[in-house]
Amino acid sequence: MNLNHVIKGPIITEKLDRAREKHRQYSFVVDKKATKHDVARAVSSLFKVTVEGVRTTIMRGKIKRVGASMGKRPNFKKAFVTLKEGDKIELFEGGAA
Amino acid sequence: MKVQVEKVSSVVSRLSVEVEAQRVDQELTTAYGELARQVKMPGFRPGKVPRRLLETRYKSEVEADVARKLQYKAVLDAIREHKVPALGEPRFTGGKLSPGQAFTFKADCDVKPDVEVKEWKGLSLKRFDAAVSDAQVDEQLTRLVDSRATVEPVEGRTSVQAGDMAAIDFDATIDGKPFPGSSGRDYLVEVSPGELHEGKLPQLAGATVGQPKVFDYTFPEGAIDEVKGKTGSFNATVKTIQARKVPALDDAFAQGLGLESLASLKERIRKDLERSAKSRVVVDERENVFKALADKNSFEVPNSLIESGIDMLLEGAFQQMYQSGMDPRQLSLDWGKLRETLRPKSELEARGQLLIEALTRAEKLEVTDGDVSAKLASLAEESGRAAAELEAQYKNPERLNALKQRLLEEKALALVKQHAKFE
Repeated sequence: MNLNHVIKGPIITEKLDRAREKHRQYSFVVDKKATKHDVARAVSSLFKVTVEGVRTTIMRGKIKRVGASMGKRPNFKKAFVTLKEGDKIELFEGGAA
Repeated sequence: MKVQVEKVSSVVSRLSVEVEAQRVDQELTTAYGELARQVKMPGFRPGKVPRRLLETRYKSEVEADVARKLQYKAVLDAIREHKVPALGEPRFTGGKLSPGQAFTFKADCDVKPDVEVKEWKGLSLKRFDAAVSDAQVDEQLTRLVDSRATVEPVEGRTSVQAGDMAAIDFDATIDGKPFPGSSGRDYLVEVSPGELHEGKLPQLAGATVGQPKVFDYTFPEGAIDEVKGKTGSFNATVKTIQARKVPALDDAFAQGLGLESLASLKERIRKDLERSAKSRVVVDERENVFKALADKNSFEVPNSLIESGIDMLLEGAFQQMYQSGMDPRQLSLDWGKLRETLRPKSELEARGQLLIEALTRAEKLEVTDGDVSAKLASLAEESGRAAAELEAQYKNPERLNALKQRLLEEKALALVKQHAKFE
């Protein structure tokens, strides 16, 4: 798979911010067809870091109702990437610090 | 906090301030804490957004904000600590702050100058007269009578004379066509020299009631745009002749106004005129003293004092406009020009006040409690209210202070006048 199409964007939330601090875990929305190996390769080439592990999960899209019509948001794949100790991804750190 | 005060001129002081790094960081922490509570960020509960994420987005705003706040706080503290007699808003230079570093900046403040009154004895002053002449009273009386005039129909005459009022029906055309306001019914005009838009139509003299009269009328400059300068052909019919009736000036007229007799009405008018003349004299005299003092004792007046004086003058003017039912916001005013015209007046006022203040200091003038109660008593008499009521009003320390200030000024003015030569 083309590594440029694997990572769709970062996920930054309060909970994941804590995981980042404690376990050096960063998370992304990734292409649904990407494997764990694809994610590891994409992250390490994009951010120049060493990946120690990847876990993924398929998030089910929420069922939404507008008036009488029902709809479903698309599913997506979420990946948690653990980095080698000492590595960092600036995008998640924020600030000029 | 380190502060250095340096005099740039007699009316401007420069404060060089250095705020410690610790205080800067403390202020930044509180600012971010406050910001976190307001910012909404997806994925975070309100108030839980970490500071480093806030910094990515709001760093420059927060730092500029904190810098401004710190500047004001620090300058206020410095002014208090070093007893700088500051006026108006300080002007800041060098307001860039960075976390973990001491924050240094300069602030230029307008300050009250050290005024010394060197020459205040033997000033030549004008004398102002508060006397009211009989002619003035009569003039006022005539105006009053005139304003009470009524319009009544004239019986037993069918031809219009100059000086009458006439109710007319009219139709007019310009070049054979009607125009806005070209016809009217039961329209009241005065048959005396003047123009139609002032309600006067001299051309009607000699007309007969019930008979149409045709004449040409050229609209003057002051008329509405559609007809200005054009000549209209009028066909007017006088329906009734009326006359203005000015009431006779006698006791009955006075009684109609709720007074006993003509004599007491005259007395009342004289008193009113005298009161306003007196207050005008007080104002004129004060200005005269200010001018004379300012001529003999020159010094620089801080700009902010003049500006705030202009603000006060404008506010007073607006209040008067509101009371007379005008809305100053609807008038198209040229603010810059208006302020410029008020500037000399404001400057004189500021100059005078500073000089008077210096004089009271130099001569050690003081206001005693006796002075205050005497003033209150005279105020009560003037306004016709109970002394106790007034006293209660002046229990408020702010108002009492203002009154004392006024008394002090009156004393100083009196002192200047005592030693002055009158022309």
